[in-house]
Amino acid sequence: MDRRHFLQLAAASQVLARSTRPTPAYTKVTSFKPGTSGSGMPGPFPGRLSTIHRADSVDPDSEKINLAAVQQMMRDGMLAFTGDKDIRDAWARFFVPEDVVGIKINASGAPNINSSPEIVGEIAKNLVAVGVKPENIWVHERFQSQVNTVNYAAFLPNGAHVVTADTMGYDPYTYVEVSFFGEDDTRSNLQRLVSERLTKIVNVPNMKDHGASGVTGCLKNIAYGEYSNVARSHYSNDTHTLSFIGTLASMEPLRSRTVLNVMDGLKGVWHGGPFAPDKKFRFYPRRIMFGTDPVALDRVLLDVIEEKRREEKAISVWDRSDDSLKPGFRKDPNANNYIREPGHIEYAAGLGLGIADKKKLDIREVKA
Amino acid sequence: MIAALFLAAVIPSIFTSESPTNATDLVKAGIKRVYVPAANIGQWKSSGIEAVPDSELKDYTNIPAPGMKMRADRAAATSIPWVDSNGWRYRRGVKRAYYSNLMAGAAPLAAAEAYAYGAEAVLAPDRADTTATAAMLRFLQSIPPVDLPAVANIGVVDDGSALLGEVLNLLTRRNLLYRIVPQKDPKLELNVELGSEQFPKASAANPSDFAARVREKLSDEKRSLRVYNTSTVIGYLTGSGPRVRLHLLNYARRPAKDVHIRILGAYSKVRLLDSADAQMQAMDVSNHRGGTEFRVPSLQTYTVVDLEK
Repeated sequence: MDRRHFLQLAAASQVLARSTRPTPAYTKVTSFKPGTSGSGMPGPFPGRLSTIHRADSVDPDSEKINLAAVQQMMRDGMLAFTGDKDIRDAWARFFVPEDVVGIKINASGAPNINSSPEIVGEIAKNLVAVGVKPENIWVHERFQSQVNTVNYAAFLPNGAHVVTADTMGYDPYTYVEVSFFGEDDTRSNLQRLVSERLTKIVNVPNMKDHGASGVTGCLKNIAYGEYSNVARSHYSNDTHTLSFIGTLASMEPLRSRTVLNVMDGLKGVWHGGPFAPDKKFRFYPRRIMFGTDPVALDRVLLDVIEEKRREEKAISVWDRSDDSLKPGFRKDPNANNYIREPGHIEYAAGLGLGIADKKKLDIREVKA
Repeated sequence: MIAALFLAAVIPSIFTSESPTNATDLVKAGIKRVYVPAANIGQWKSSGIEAVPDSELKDYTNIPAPGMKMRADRAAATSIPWVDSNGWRYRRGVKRAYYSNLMAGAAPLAAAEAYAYGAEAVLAPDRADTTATAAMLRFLQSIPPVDLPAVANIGVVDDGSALLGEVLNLLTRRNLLYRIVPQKDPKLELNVELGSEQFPKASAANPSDFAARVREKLSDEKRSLRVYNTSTVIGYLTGSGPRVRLHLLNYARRPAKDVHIRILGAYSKVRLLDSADAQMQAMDVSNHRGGTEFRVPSLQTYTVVDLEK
């Protein structure tokens, strides 16, 4: 989809059906200052991304991942993104030996769809190669019950951690305060690990459809995935994902510390996301994308999901009609549970988190 | 914020229809007397506990068991806990309460609830709860007594209606601090009178929406108490001047983890007394944006928090 089509769909859908809710009054409470120029989102390469596809990277029947293929994709994709010839140089652009690095995985659909441990392991290996100590690598998510279903430790160097906010907790004094629907608890707090321990973050989302936000990629994984009390933005058929995702992602120190996004598109979800326990809604893009600009990657993701939905004759992620709001969202690709808000990507661009205009993107496709 | 008269807390008593075989636990808990069916009085004479005929409970208000249910009848990302609290009954004026129908597991919370709100209560615990109830009663006895008035931001003119009762229930569950006033009190931040221009009677048809409207008119900034990261904990704040005491009751069976509290005003000392963990301390204590904030790591049933300037 080109930008014109993208905007036409957005405009038409808003005329024909429900308009977007007014932006709530957000208060960002943080003692952290923005990082140095160029650090964090959108980073030193706004609008640039690489995408690498390899047909044998995952077997659709067994969903088994080909580790050797992933290793090659991780190397070639990262080199294409940075333009470097040596993979160590590519990673050294973003990380120094003194860093304490968080790898923000996505386990919300685990064990069926989640950040592949093979990719997470390769990231850790490259971090160690530039001098980061294994004990300073923190693979993390919010919920322990989800992470328990995937053996990340088997792919990590000895000493690396796999932790969740269930045990590490949230920072009581770094939060976004807002009232959406009159909920009692009006704060969403940043994971304590992020504010108190990490110096850098590698964001590893999946390629997924999302019933509330349209798609879930870099922005949502780093926003809803790093803060507490975010489900409150959904109520009845409405959500505030349009503005909340970008608002959370843009707050310090999260914004400055998120220096690299590696989007895991080996497997994907084209409907029923983010959990998608039904295999018929999973598909296999067999690609990995790299970038410092989360908006750019998510903009490409939006096309991937929309095209797959069109191929499956499912309603558009931009569909805002009341007719589509009906029971059975988990089973019916033409049913919506919420009014979806794929415009959250454009909204995040407006906050300076990256570039959403596809014509301005520098997309480096790598043939594996 | 304004303070109103508060009754000194009293330790709840027990009703039992059984023989005094469990008297040891009751004695250990400091129970000096029990309410029993008149026919059982004789059995209790040598138990060391005074037995009082249950006919004396006729002046007590029969109130339901406190607790929590999950409701999944609304389309939301998570199901909504439905808290059954008697706080509003106490705030409305019940001073003597009889918890006659306590299912297993409910008695410790009932004891704590009555104590927190300063009511004279009698509990009829399930037999399975004897030990846990005795432990709660021992804990209640260990709390240093103070006689502090209730803190309120809202005055509610009580018309005695069932409708207003449900409004009070929802205000309690949303941790909106109020007191019953005979007429509007200009010293309070907000007054609520059903039938007034600001709060027409029809607007109370949905008490939950009504409570939300009250909260909006008060504004969160003026609230003396905020409770974060839980939807099952209700706070009852008492105090004046340099000292306040906060009663925190968890209506769920599971402990509420990392409950974050904000109390308007700057306090330098924060001390926890928890019914399940004598060693528990307030964490992340900070004077933050005009309030004192802290974290209660794990709230099983009842935590008392004393704050001093």
